[in-house]
Amino acid sequence: MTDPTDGLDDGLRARMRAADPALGAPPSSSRWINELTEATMSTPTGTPIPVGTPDGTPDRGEQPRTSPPRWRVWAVPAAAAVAVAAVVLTVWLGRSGGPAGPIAGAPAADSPSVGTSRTASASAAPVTLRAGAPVAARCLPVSIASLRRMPTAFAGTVTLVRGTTATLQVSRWYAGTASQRAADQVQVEGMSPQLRQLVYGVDLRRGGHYLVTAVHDGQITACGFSAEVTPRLAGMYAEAFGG
Amino acid sequence: MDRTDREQRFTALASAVGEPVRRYVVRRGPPDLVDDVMSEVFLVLWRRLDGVPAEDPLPWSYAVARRCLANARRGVRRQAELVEKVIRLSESARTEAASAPDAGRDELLHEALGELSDLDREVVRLWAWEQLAPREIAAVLDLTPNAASLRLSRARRRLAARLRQDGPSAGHRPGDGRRR
Repeated sequence: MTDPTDGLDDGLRARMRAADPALGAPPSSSRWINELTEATMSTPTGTPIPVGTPDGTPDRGEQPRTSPPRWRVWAVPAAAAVAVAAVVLTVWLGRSGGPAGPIAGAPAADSPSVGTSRTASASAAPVTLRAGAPVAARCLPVSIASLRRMPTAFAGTVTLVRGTTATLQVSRWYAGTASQRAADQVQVEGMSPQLRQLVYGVDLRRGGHYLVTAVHDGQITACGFSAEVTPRLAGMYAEAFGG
Repeated sequence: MDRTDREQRFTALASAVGEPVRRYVVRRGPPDLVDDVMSEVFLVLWRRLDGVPAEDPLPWSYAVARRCLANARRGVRRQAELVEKVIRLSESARTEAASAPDAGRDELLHEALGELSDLDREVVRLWAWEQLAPREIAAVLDLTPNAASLRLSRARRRLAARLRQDGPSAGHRPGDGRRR
């Protein structure tokens, strides 16, 4: 990276470098790069980027962002205090494959742990989520602090949609009980068309990659807390759950 | 978890270019856009991994960052303009704090850079800040190496001449009509 005329410009270059805006900026941590790398690789190459940036081919230029960042999308309904749909989380806990009923109240005795990658050997019965009737609620902004309080969190790909039930193959458990984390699959039941149409709801579509959280009473979060994977959201999950 | 070959290649690429590209973005973008822009850059690199030059991925990555930054700026143009003003102020403040006796020099430099065309200014920045050679600058800016070299020489000449006009010790010449 040298130039034959550099000798003539040493002073200029030194002066320019003294005015380098990044001069005082601390170097980024390797953890930050690692997290961003992992979050990026969670976004499949063939999936459209949901924030309005299409292909991004360098030689023809990036397209302008046509929609606000996702956090602003649900910040708007938050301000408007719109109703959101809530999805009732029902977990099939038994290793025999039977349903154990909905999670209610505090987490199960096997307290949640975080940042657990799926292993190929795990083969417990699927966790089943069930969509309940929409309820009135307010959207809260997605934040790392809010995510951190979620007892259940995972990343998964929708492998099947049949009727109102979607099946996700879990790629990573960020938080959950030991029983939950033993499962490879999660099923979401009762995803109504009404729910799918809500921009702040969760529209699970086959082939889509999602980050999902659920609160203590067993409801899957909406309002952007549970949504299709984006680097931004994945980064927030990683930071919230240390994964 | 086993890594695919593609994931291994991307991890290595991210490790190699992540920090320099972040600094590139820090140098040119409002602080509150850095994370968003970096997310977009990584996403483009991930999606276009097969097109990233294996032997010298950095200029290509800078080119991606340049476009992502331009997109981000367009998306938040009004905020960006405001923040840019703040950045300029903070740059001046940082410079003053770092080298108070020479504070005027950096102000002059900033003015001199501002008198260059956008493209020439970026050529000089890539040369000085990213320390790229003309052929690498050409890759970032989609120029021919010859055009990049000519632009760089011309921009450096103009910059040096402009700075000589005021001189290191004449930073605040009274009555200098060129000052804004």
